[in-house]
Amino acid sequence: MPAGKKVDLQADGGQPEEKDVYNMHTAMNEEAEDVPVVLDERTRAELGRQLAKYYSQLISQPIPDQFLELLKKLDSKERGE
Amino acid sequence: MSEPANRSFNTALVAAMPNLRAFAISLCGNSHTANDLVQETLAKALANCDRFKEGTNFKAWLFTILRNTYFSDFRRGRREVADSDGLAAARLSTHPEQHGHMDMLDFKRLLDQLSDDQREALILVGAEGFSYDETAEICGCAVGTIKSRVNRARLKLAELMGIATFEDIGPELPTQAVMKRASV
Repeated sequence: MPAGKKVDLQADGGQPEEKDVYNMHTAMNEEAEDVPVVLDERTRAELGRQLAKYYSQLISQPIPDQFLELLKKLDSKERGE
Repeated sequence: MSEPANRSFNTALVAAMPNLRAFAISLCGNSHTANDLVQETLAKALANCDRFKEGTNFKAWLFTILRNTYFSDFRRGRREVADSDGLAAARLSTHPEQHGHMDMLDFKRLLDQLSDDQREALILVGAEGFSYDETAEICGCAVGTIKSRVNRARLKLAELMGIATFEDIGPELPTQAVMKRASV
């Protein structure tokens, strides 16, 4: 990373230095530590909503049988069988 | 491990299952491989239960085992495995932005376009609610690296969804800004 280009992005909404507007191609660099663009609040909120929706659907899927078998084994161990 | 500790370990393991599976599906891209990954993770957790330090974050410990197992044993061939749910095969004929809302499959396809590192960081922080510090520990890298991956993941998703607007910069895509810069 070039010296003097360090931008401390806060968890959500750190302000990049203005000069970094012209270095946005570093966002495409896989190894770059900083992404000198910050999505606005509305965009981040929308992404958050989509991600939460996607993930909650995964979490609410039924537990597959192969894990239920494992649960039974744990249960019987707890009962000292 | 004492009997009560053993009991709470098992209870916590069971409670974490849906989350482990959701994270595994996000990494693997299909539920068949994800189930094997979770199974392997649970087996390792049980075999190494005495290595868990009481008082530390149990869920983070499980997620660490899962992601390490994925990157060491499951990553290869990720794209080749058929999706047992047929999700990957169910191609939509329109882009997400064309019908104004996105269903689960749309969003999954967008997530699949992120790198493994970016997707992992985004899910852990954005969906699982781990802190950047916890996520850095789970992934075995620096906090700054995680922040960077999450930011890049969000940026790419927003661009793919066509909703990327930026603070203090205006609704330009980075590629447009780069082109603009090049023409100055």
